[in-house]
Amino acid sequence: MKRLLWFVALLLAIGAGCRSPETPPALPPATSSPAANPTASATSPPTVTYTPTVSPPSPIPTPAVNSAQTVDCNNPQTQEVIDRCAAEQAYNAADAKLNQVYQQLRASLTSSEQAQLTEVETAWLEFRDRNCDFESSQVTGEIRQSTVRYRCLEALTQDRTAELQAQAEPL
Amino acid sequence: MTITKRFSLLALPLLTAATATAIGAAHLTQAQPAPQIDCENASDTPSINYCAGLFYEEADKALNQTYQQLQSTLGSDQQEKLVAAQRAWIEYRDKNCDFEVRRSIGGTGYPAYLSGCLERMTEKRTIELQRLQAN
Repeated sequence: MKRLLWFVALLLAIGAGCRSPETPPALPPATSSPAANPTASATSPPTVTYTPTVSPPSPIPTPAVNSAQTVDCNNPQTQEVIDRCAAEQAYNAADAKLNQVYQQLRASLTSSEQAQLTEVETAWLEFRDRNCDFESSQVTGEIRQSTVRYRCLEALTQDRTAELQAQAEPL
Repeated sequence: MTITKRFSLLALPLLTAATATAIGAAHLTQAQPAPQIDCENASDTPSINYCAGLFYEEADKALNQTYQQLQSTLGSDQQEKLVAAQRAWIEYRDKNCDFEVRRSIGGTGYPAYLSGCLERMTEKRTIELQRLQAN
């Protein structure tokens, strides 16, 4: 009996010994879950899917937002997803408007001014993405982060549209 | 300080009007800056240029203050993100204002137009950061 107990204790010890190396890897899932959001990591490449050349004919590219996230906007099941899809839709509308205003302004410029505007827009895109990276990092949860990010993008896009509209007015 | 801010507000329509007549800036008088410039009533180009610079400096100080306050509330990961955002904003601000005042380059009012653009963008950014801090 005593030997049996000793054997059981030995098994437990071995079991514990085998598990202990697994304990550290058990931690990363907890800390890496935020990183599941590709936009949340500072070291991950900026979510700039566009090339930094806003060439004259090309519209201002749309940023990638949580491409890893599987959200079915045709059949949203929760309020969280409904909000996220509405935010995406609103952003897309704002982006379309910006592109329209951008192209109008561009058409009124000389070629050197167009080149300068391209530089401004490239800088603006970088700012927009960095700023919305920061803003969305202030909330937790992948879907909520995505919603906040889209709302941030929408707000900045509307601001930029107003600025370009002001530029389009004759001096 | 409060006086300066009041001046800043009063000067906005002045700068806007000046911007609207960017090409006409060359027609403004070429008076030397007065020893003591009254920014509330600045009407000659050198004074307007000087005062516009002052207003921008004030706006920049306010932004820096807000930025530091916000940074102090953040964890290191978010601080890094805010630094990246702010660096990108500075790049955007400078390029945008260069573009905005491109047609006044060489004109006597150019410094005021540039300062006016920088001031406007800076004030807007301050409000944005204040909103983020409140959230």
